[in-house]
Amino acid sequence: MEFLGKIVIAGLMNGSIYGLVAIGFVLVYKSSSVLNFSQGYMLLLGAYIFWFFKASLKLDLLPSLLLALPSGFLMGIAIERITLRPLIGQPLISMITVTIFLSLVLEGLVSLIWGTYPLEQITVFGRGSGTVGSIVLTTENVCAFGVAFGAMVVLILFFRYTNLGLAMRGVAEGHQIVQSMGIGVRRIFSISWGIAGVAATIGGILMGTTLGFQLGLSHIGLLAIPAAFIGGLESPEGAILGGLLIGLIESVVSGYLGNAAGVPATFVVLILVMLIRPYGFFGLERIERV
Amino acid sequence: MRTKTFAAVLFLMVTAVMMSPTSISWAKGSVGEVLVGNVSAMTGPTSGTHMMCQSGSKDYLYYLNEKQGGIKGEKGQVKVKYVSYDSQYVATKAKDGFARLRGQGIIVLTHCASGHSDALQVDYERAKIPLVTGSHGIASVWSDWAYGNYHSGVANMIRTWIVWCKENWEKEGKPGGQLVLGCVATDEPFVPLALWDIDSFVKEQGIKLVKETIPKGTTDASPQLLRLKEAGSKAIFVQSSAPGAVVILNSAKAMNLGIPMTQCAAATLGDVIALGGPELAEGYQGEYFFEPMSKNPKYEDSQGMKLVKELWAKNHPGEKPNDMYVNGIMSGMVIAEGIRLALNEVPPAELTGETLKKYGLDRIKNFDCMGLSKPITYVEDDHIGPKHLRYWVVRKGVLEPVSDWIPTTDFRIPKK
Amino acid sequence: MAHTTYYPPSGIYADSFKKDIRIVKTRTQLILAVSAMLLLVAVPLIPGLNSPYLLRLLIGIGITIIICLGLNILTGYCGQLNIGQSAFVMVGAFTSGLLNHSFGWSFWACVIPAGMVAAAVGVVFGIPSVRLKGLYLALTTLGAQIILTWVALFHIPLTSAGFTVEPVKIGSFYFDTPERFYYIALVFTAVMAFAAKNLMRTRWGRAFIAVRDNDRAAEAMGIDIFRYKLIAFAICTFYAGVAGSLLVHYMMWAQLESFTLNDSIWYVVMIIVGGLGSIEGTIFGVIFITALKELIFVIGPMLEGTLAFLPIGAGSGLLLVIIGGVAIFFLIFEPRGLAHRWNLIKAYYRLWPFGY
Repeated sequence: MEFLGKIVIAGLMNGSIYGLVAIGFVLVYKSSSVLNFSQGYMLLLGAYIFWFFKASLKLDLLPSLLLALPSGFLMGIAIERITLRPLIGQPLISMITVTIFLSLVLEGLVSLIWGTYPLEQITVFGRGSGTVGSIVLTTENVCAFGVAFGAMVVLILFFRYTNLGLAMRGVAEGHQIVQSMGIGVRRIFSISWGIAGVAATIGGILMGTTLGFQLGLSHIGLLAIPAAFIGGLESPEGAILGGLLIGLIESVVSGYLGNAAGVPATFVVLILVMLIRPYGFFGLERIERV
Repeated sequence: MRTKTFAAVLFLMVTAVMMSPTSISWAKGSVGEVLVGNVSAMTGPTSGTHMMCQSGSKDYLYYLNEKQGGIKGEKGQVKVKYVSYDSQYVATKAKDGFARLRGQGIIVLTHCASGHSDALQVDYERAKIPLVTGSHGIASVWSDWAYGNYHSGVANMIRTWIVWCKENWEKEGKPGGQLVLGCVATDEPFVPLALWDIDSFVKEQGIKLVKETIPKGTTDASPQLLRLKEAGSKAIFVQSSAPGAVVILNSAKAMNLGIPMTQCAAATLGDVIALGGPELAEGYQGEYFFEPMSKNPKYEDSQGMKLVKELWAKNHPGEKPNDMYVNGIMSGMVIAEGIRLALNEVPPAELTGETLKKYGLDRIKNFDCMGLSKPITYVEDDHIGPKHLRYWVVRKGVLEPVSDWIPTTDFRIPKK
Repeated sequence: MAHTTYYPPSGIYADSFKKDIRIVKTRTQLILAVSAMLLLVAVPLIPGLNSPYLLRLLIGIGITIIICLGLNILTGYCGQLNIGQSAFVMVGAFTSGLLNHSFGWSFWACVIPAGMVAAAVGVVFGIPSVRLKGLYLALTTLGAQIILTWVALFHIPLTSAGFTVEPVKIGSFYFDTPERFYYIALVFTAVMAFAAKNLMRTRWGRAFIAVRDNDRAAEAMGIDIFRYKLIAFAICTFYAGVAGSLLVHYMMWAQLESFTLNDSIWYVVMIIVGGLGSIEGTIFGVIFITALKELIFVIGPMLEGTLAFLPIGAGSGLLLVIIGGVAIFFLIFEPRGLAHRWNLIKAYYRLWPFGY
């Protein structure tokens, strides 16, 4: 029982990271129907920007956060403005390809400025830990969990109660209709990419401070894709819950079967879920008419 | 049409670069200059270590150029030119790169990438160009043309560790009656070679080994570590590069694991400290077949280490010490020593891969890289490196030795 | 996306469907095609062009073209996105490699079984296409990549550690140098490309296009869409399997790390840049992307030396930025791929001087 408890906790903690990254996919997909392959690399750049403020400029935690998050927002907006805006109206698959090339550019930028060698570690949260029963919780894990949960709540409220959030949901339904109702589709695009940039930066900071600032951080972008799908590509709450579910499956399967069976197992589960609910648990079901 | 002009320029550029080995006339190198080739990943997540290794061998060879006008033998003197190709850690690209470097006229190849050693074997043997490598994945030490400065082949990392753990356990009076050891590996390509036929070895030693794997890029290793703990492991061996090691250390910390862990030579403790911070790495052990640069400054430096530090300060000003760099320097030293010995027999104009092997590398005896490692001797059918290693542990962000130099086990992956 | 307005050369017309679907329509085309083929055959004999490095690049391009042709049939013609192609290449490669390594079968006996096994695996992973579309289907192919790699890593001892494979031979003549293997690659690429081109002129090819353009309309017209989707999956992965078999016999070495998700994504990029639903486009795309990537491999290390004042790895980083940037600008200017531009150039030439 203790074994199971520990595995479940570890899975949930890990899953919250997946969820945070998956939110980035969802935000972009929701407004522009593009699967953003460069999400992992945005996370990498976000993490390195934070490292720059914290370690190179030697700022305190709060100012560096206050500078890094808007930088992440600007990063998202800039990416959208420069690379994706000119492609509006072009085949969707071209836009997806652009995000693949974008990941090259972002990785290149990071290596150009900071080099390919891992950066020096910085501590942010203070490495504390406490125990609940026989289960240990570290500050980083709790922070990751808290941030993921907080982000989910904020986003749900945002999409439900603010004008901007409602407008963004509208854009997801159809560009022409929303534009003709006086909502600036372009502005919405910018903002959703901006928020995706912030989400990536938060994920990057959390991961970088625990796993080190290195180019391999971008790999999480691929691991988090199943989380975005299983929850439904249009739903932020789906992304977080999907992330937790994926983390849980991975952890439990690896724990009981060994041999790193967790990751393939998540895909098996995912394909089965997709066959039953082709749009994920919370996704928008598109009704097709002839 | 701006796009058309742009496309035309691009096309010309691409063609020019593709043709460059044939059109630029540096083929074969002028008399008094030899080319040393390097194929390794310079972009992508593995590039950090590879670049460090490369930088080490390059800096050392260029230092010789600058300091003493190249490498001097009785029959003449050569300067070294270093050429490289980015393989992105893909075996096909490594082979393409080797073909390119060969076209440029290299006489010796060096690299730092495990999967490459095997995939490239056919190529460098056929081209009669020796390979000098500090790569931990060197499984092809059976090749007449491959020379390792790595301790003794990838499969001996865990074997030597098992023997060491068993000795310590016997010294303690065999607590528990049965020794259980754990091994956690990433799914990186070198791992199957590292665990080659390990089960029969474990049986021979009369201990129990529990193996676990973590997927690449994962952020959590708790399930695997929990399984090892459940199995009652006394110590854990980590077969992973540095990012994987940090994931494992984080998870171990999050669950208060309390089992000593040892890093294999695929990553250095210095990397782990840099990535995870000294606090996380505290108490983490690692194996070294050379003198680490990040050791506690209170220990005296060998002559080689003094040179390493000098080169490091010159070429990487303001950066923290890096252990992989030492590995690269050692590759450079072996190459330079080989060239020097060969130049005692042949004039620079006749220095080729073949003569370098015959008169140079094959004759290297008791070469200790200025004290950086135990002596290297190459004899027929045995081109393995120093065959000794030493365990170090992280204390307050610097390394302290926990063992003396230990001879490694001498298992060899069967000839293919 | 294949529909760019087609202008036949002046005086060329079709009065029957058979004439309309001819591949070679004019004498000029025939002459150009034959001379291009002759030139390709002569490459290893021309001094200056026959460096092993260049030939290796051409061989690599040939094998990649086969992989991408299959992918373009599935993704470009039939509209089913596949981002796990390199896993199927791996299935073919290991089937062929193991048959050779363990049973001593020659390449010629291995290559068809390799394609068949890959196709069988491909069909299994194609089954979810009965309900899934677009990106959601892409996810199952991503799953194929992860699951197949995992099987190869943990359940087949040989494939996880890597093993040697014999080179291709006829009698006692070994195709083990780039100069020799070049011809094998050339023949296979030409045959596979021709087969693909022809396939798209048959009933199956037209059914694929119908499924892609509007699956519900296709179904209403009596096309069994599930069946045709599975056929497309089988063809796509058969191509991958054959290419995989070629690859291991060329490398003489088979190991897991040659078949990564990254490769799969690059294959998709190649066909998109080349042009979805176009055989010529596939070839253009593979050549273009291979050349661009080669720039990183070659110039990156050179830059590294001149940019020594920047952190380690900066030179390659700079190049990644440039190449990614070039590719993005290219896509912004030409989102429909090189094949589209090719047709525009042809049309421009044929309509000159009245190209308006």
